[in-house]
This record gives sequence, C-alpha cells and structure tokens, in this order.
Amino acid sequence: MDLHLILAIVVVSALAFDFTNGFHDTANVVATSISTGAASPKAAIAFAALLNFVGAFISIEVAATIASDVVNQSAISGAGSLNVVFSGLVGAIAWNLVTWYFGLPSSSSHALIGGIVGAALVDSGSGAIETAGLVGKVLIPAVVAPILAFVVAALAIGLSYRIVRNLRPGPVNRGYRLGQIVSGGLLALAHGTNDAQKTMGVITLALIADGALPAGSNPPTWVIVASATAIALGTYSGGWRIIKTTGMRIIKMDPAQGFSAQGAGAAVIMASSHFGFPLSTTHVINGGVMGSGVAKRISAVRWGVAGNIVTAWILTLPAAAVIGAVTFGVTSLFGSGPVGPVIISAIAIVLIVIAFVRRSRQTEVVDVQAEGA
Amino acid sequence: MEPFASVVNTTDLFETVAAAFVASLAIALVSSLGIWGGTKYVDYSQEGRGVTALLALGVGVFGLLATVGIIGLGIALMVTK
Repeated sequence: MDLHLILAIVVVSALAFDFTNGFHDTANVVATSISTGAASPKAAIAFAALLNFVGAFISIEVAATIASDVVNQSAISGAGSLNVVFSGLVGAIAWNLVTWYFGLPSSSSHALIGGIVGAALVDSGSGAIETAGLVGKVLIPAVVAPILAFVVAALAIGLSYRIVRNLRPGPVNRGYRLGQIVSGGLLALAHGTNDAQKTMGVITLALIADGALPAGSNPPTWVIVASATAIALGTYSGGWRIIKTTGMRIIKMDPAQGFSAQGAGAAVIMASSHFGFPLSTTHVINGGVMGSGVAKRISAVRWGVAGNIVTAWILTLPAAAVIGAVTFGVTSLFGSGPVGPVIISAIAIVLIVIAFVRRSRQTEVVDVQAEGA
Repeated sequence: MEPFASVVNTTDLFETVAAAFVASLAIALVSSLGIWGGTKYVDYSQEGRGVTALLALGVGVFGLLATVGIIGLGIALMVTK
C-alpha cells in the first residue's frame, strides 16, 4: 500500500514535471514564429500544443534511454528507488521553476537527468549510474546537438539568402513566414517526440522499480497518453517570459532566419529522437537561433544574453543533481515510506504557488510601468 | 577511462549528424527555390514574359512539392523505426 502511494506520488510528480517542461519549453517552439510575425501568439501556442501531443506518439526510443541507460535498474529497486525517482523529479521541477522565475531558457531534460543522477548517487553510490549510457547517450549528444544546430542553421540561412538575395523583400518575407508555420509545426512535433518521452521513461522506470513492470519494459499506452496530454497542456499554458528571451533578445530575426533556426532545430531533434538521444530542445533551438544570426553578421547576436543562457545550461545538470540529492537526503530522514514524499510534495506546492504569485505581481508592475512610459 | 567508441555509438551519432545536415539543407534549398519561383513568376508575369514566368512557376511548384515530400519522408522515417 505504502509503495503504491509513493508510486502514485511519483507518477503525479512526473506528469507535473512534464507540464512544467511544456510550459517552460513553449518558448523554444513558438518564440521565433511569434517574433517574426509568422503567427499570432495564441495561434502559435495552440498549434504547438496540438503537435506536441501528436509528437509524443511517434517514437519511444528516448523513453527507453531514460528508463534504462541513465541509472542501473537493478541497483535501485523497492521503496527507496521510488524515492530516488521522486527526488530526481523534485530537483528537475525546482530547477525549471527557478530558471522560469528568472526568465532563463535552461534545459528541462538535463534538469531531469541531473536530478535523478544526484538522488541515485546519494542512494546507491556511483554503481547506480550507467556511466556509459550517461556519457554516450546524454552528455556527448548534449554538447554535439547545439553546435550541430548552430552550424546547420548558419549553412541553411546562408544557402537561403544566396537563392533569394536579388528578390523583392516583401514576397520573400511572406514566403518564409508561411514556411515558418510549417517549420514551427515540425519543431513542435519534434519537441513532443523528444521531451514527452523523457516523462514516459521516468514513469516506466518508477513502474519497474515498483515491480509493476519487468525490467526492460517499454512504456504502457496509458503512460504515453498521459505524458502527451501533460506536455501539451503545459505548452498551451505557455511561458511568456522565456519567449521574450529566445525570440527577441538573442537576435532580432527576419522570417528567413526564423525558418532556418526552426528547420535546423526540428531536423536535429527528430534525427536524435530516432536514435534515442534525449536532447535538450532548449539547447538545440537556441543553437539554431544563434547560428542563423551569426550567418548574417556576428554582431547580430547579443552575446551577453547568449552568455547568460550558456551559463544556465552549464549550471543545470549539477544544480538539479544537488537539489535531487538534498531532496533524497531529506526524504530518507522519514524512512522509505510515503511520509517523506508527501511532506516534500506539500512544501513544493506551497513554494510553487508563492513563486507564481510573486512573479505575476512583478509582471503586473512591469506592465503598468510599460503602459505609463 | 573507456575509449570514446566504446561509450558512444559513433554510427548512430554520425547518422544523426548526417541526417540533420541533409534534411536541413535540403529543406532550405527547396523551400527557397519555391519562394524564388513564386516571386519570379509574379515579376515576369507583370513584365509580360509569359514563358519565363511559367518556367519560374514550375521551379516554385517543384520547390513547394519537394518541401512537402522531404518533410513527409522525414516523419515516415521517424515512425517506421
């Protein structure tokens, strides 16, 4: 009974993480379309939410990586292991909210993996970590992907400019804005494919730890549907602060640059999902945005803002790992039963509500000041 | 320290990089050709150059269809694994 209660808390926490992931990553998917005027904010977000949902059903390779290639399934089992998964999720959600609060587009995926690794290290030591999987399927692709998106977007925009350079700008911009509806849709589909699967992987890992599924199982259908729904609802709720950072503050984009950045991002994420690499969609799209800016001129990129984003990227894995480890330590003080997760969940909910209230009050002040200016 | 190749599936990594390059550049090429064809069709039509306008329209239609085809192929490859 206790074990099932913890499992229920873990599943709810995982779906809450999935919601914050969609909420947090809305910017990645729609910012370029909105900032170039290719789509209205409401239409872009609704379209992205729908395609996030569809994308979650396309593949399960990433879910398999999260469930089996990050932590050793046999090293963590029983009630304690569910607390590991729970603590990892708390680490990820907490870091997502901190970066959302300050408007930084950090990686939800790395927060999730960092949180789980931190908690597993405290629980079972380094033997609980699948080092080869963590390095080969997470860390190296994490470095390669944004660089790849940067290079590909730069080449794509260079090629596009070369073809349309002597044309009238009006029809060209209209054409690329139309193209952005397609490339934005592809990016949303790719985002659903890669990011929703991370939650599927975590819930599958929890079900295996609980004994409800045998080791090596794929996500059950209800897990896929629930994860797809949670990320789509999160995306629909949106993260306006981060949209501003990604869409306007890194570079001022024209529609061709937006199209190239989204196309490159979608291609990198979809190719990676196909091979089971759990990428950060945030890293990829920001790499694409910077690449499409650099191709025009290096000074077009606001490197100070880009530097802040890179700092958030670097901090994400260790910060989420520390929060996950501390959460596991605190949870363990109450034994391996559900008391720890229940108390931590209650505290987390209170902190989340406080953060939302404070943030919305600050936003209201900024809006009033902007109107008065 | 494990060698790089034993930790990373270099074939998968290489195929990911190659697929991203090919897909992105192909989409950029054909969609830009579509925009070029559509814009030139209007320009040539206004200048009364009927045959050249039709050729430009052909390039535009090819670009549009090729864009749709590449996207469809990419999604089909994703689904079939």
